[in-house]
Amino acid sequence: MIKSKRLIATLVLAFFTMSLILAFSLAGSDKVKAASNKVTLRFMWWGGEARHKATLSAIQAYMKKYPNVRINAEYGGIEGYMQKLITQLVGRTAPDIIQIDVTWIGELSAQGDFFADLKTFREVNLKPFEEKFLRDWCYSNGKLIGLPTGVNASAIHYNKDFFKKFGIPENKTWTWEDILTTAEKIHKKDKNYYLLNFDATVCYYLLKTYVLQKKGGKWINDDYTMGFDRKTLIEVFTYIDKLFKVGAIQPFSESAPFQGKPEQNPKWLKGELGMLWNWTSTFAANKANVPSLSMTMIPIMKNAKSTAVTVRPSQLLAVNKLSKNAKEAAKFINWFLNDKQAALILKDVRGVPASSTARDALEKANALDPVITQITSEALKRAAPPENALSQNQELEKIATDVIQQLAYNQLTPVQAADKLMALYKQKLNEIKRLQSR
Amino acid sequence: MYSQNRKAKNTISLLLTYAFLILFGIFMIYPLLWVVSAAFKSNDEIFKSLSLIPQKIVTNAFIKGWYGTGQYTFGRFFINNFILVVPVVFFTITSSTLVAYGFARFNFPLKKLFFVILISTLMLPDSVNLIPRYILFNAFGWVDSYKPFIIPSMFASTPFFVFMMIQFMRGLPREIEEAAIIDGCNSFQILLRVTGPLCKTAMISMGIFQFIWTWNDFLGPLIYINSVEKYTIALGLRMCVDSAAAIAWNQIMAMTVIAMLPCIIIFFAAQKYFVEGIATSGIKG
Repeated sequence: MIKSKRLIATLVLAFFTMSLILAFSLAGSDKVKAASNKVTLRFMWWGGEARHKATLSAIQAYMKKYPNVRINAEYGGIEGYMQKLITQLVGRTAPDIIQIDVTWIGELSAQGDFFADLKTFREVNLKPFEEKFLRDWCYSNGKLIGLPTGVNASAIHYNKDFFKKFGIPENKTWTWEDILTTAEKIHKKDKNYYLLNFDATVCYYLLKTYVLQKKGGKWINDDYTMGFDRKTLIEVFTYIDKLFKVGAIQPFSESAPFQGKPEQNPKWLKGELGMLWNWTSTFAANKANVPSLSMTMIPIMKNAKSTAVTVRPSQLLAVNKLSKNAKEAAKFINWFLNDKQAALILKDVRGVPASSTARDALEKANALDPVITQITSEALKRAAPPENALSQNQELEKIATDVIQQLAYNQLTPVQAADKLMALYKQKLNEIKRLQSR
Repeated sequence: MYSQNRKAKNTISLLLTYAFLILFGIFMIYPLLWVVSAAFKSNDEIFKSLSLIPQKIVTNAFIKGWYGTGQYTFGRFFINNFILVVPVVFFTITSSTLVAYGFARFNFPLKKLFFVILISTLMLPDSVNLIPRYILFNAFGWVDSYKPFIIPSMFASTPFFVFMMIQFMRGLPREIEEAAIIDGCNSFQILLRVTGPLCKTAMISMGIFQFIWTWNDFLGPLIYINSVEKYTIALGLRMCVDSAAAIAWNQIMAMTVIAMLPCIIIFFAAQKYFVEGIATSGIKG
């Protein structure tokens, strides 16, 4: 018995030793080749197929131009991207060049100081970028943490065939009143057709936009108070209620499966819905599904206190603070965003370029969809200042979309909806204030 | 008369059972069939109809999808997946069996404590140890390789399998092993010649589970693999899914169909053992 036990022990030990040997031999197999003056940069981004292809060929062009630089592309879909990025930043293995979203800046800087200050690099030319745009979106604690890849704006996507069918002029400047009357006419003419492809989230954008245009200021003030009053709120809820009553919006009971992804609503794809409130950056993707698509500005009130038109960077390109080759990384970003050659390869895969040199190059080469260029420049002219973080709070958004849904299902009158929203907001804002002032 | 009545009743209840099972079966298999049919649909048709028969049959989705963005084809991702999955499955089976054998048949100091620790790690959600594990493997220099998957599998790191094997082995009669001892076998020979072969069904179900889980794993490779040339299929499939881009859904569906094939083949090839292994673990004895 003792003998056999010893044998087992030996065999088990042998098994583990073997596994360990295998482990280390695996470890040795892909040792980095030692290179003297060669620089290897890692560049991580997310996107769809078109963006991947264009970015890869831009990288090829750069490596041809600077043979001492090697750039490893690390790309994928947006799913899980931020999770991975945070893990890498915390684990100190993040790539040298990182594509980030402006809405992440708050959360990322709460976790630590991860990005290099791009304004301190001589390699980067900031002149082609509009200074106000950088100030508004790309700074965090006085540091320029990233450069905008493109300009993205909120806009209305509309179906030209739909407009033709109901005799709506395309070059119309929409007002809130027009939308209501036109929508009513359309739905009376054909019960299957609705002017607006709006879900609860879009209704929330409408709510905010309407209030901001009426009142100016902020949706939620920095001191945790609401930037609107009861009267205005009742007015906008009454307006939304009318939209449902006259058949401007497809009833939520039918469109509920597409809440959060209205662009996949079959009625929209079939051309039975006329307008979709969305970003300019999604225009190409939406146009692939609805070929007769065009864009127009969101409605702006007469005497609006603020236009409430959101214009923001598509994404930012940042340099990892821990990067050993930060200078080379900055040099690459500068080329990637400002160079004519890069612009002609990348075209609008990250929206209309934010750098004027890149934009000029594309315009000269006729490489931009004129609709996107036109709407982007119009939106830039009327851009509202960026929202504070509180106004973009996800929990507040959830409360508002819930109230809007109750309104849509006739469980609340506009007055009740306004009161409920204000009561819930007050409660939630107190809670947030308590948590943040700790 | 009476027996005829009963016969009729039996037939009716049988018919109802079959009708229910068939309906339920269709309900369960519809999404699978939909994926296959979507691979042959044109892109704009996919969201417009629920029908399984494409209006216009498109076949180039498979070819286009296979080439993807052009830098690496799906063939590469397939090979990567096998390089990752095959060792993981092999090591999981061998190491889990060995550890389970120890727990099921030997007495050693602190055995109870170790067993409690094993069971408690079974309760631990995976996401809890994601960051510490990442930091550890990063310190070993294993990031951007398949080592974070293969090496832990050499140490019976999935407690569920160890537990399953322990239960299965406890169900085996000890008398057979005692007979083997009388015949002059030592413990290792018993495992190799007696207990091991008796555990075949459980080992096969363990293999199938581990194969399918590792094959379809998304979060693990997402966190550990950086280079596109080392991407697995799960990463390859989501490579082009972006909210702001035009997505060639038919190509993604086509590649999904191909990605499912190995799992389906393995499952049906080993189905007999699989069902046996699940059904008998823990109730024998």
